[in-house]
Amino acid sequence: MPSEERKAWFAQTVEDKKHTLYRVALLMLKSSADAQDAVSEAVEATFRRLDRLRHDQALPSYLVRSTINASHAVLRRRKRETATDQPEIHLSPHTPETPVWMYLSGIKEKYRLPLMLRFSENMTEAEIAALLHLPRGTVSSHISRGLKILREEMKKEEAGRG
Amino acid sequence: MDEKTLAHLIFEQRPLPPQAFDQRITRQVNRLVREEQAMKKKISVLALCVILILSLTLFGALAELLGLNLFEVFGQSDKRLMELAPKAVLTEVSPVDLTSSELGTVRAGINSAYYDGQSLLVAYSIQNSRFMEAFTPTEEQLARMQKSQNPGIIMVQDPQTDALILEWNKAYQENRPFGFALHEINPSDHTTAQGGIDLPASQESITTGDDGQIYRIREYESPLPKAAQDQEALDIAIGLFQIASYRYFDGQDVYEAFERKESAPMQAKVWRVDAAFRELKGEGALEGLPLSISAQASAVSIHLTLTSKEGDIPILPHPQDQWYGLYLSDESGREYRAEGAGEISGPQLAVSFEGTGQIPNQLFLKLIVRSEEQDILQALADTAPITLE
Repeated sequence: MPSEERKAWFAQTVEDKKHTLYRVALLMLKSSADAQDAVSEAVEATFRRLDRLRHDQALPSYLVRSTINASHAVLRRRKRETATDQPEIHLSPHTPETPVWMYLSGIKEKYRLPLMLRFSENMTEAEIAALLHLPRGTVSSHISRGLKILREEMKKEEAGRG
Repeated sequence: MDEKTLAHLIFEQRPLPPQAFDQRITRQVNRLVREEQAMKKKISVLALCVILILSLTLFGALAELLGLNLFEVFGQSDKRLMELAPKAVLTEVSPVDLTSSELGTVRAGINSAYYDGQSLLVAYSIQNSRFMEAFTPTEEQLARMQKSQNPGIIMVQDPQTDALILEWNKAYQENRPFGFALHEINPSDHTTAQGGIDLPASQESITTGDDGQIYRIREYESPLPKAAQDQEALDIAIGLFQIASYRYFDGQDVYEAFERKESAPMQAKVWRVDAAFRELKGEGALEGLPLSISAQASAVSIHLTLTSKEGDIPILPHPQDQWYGLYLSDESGREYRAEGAGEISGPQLAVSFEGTGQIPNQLFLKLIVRSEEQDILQALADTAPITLE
């Protein structure tokens, strides 16, 4: 059973990271309702395994990892059910005219997640590498390549409109 | 746009979750932490149980109130309740012990309850709550009894346990004097929450467990009264009454007397669960009147609001002959049962439906004006569904 200190740390970490978790799930699932469910599942699963966590410092990464796993589970269920989820993304009130996140959600996951974690959540490349179980060099190249792809996608769209 | 600007925009345009998400996660974390504490408490209560088995052999009654989730008992015949059962576990169970010379010790308690901020269901049991005995009044007692206008024959509900009722009916038919006394502990029809909020019940189901005990589950009108909505927890209380009914037939007339005494209520703190709600929207028309339709769906209920875009929803000219028929189903083909007729208020028509235990992704609404003579199956076949998603 987790100690009172660890439970307090868990509560504080979830409070601090819940928006990050939501955005990770949203980017993968493109549905606000499903993203909320996935985060909820991840929080539950993490708490149940809290005793197995060796270091308190690993908890934020563990929560993000659990959210990615829960989102993958939703995607697998969707494939089975051939559901047709409508993209539903809540943009912040100060959203500029160019909803970059709409484009971001359209690129491959291997670029999408590192980009989002690096620039939206201000994680370092080393942290992202540890989280996604990737070599740091790979993360660096995914971020660089992802930015290029994102820019090209946006250019294409603008050209199409123009 | 250069890559630096793009990276900055990713940060600037970060999507924010709906406010309800923050509340849901906070509640979930609170529940998880509390659940652990409750487990500790349960273990100590169970340890106490073991001592009581050895000394007082009261295990049956205690284990029942502590261990059995009545949502699962009712869930055998209602899938929705089975789905809700894991979330209906109470962190603390505080049964009430009542003693009477006729019934002995009666244990009553709220066993499990589900509250999601909008809906409430409460399961409870009152054990050994009924006792009958033969009764012959003294002259003084008979003088205080009222002559009954009710029919002499009484309906027998359970021949196994109502032997005295059978005997009464036989005596009445043979014009033979006979009497009985029925001692009961009955729940009040009223449930209150903190601050004296009255929670109106919509229905109550009763079943008999394998152990012969009577279990009940009470459902409340959804959405709950405003003051009881979106609370962190509800402190609910259901009153209990000790009732004694005396009935005597002197060979000619039936005499009755009642005594009623209020006892300590059953109480429970019901924490709000981190249940999800899904908002669904659609557009449609009713007899040419354009409508926007919104639904708030949870596992327990669906609240549907139809809003006219052009003036008020018309009140039908002959409401006894014509009415609005709303037929709701979801992407899995599950049909939803309306709770009541709904309410029209200016441009809005609001109707609540009973949930299925699962939250739908899509809803399909067929909206027609119905009349008694109408072939409803044909009308439904002829009506295109409005999709809410």
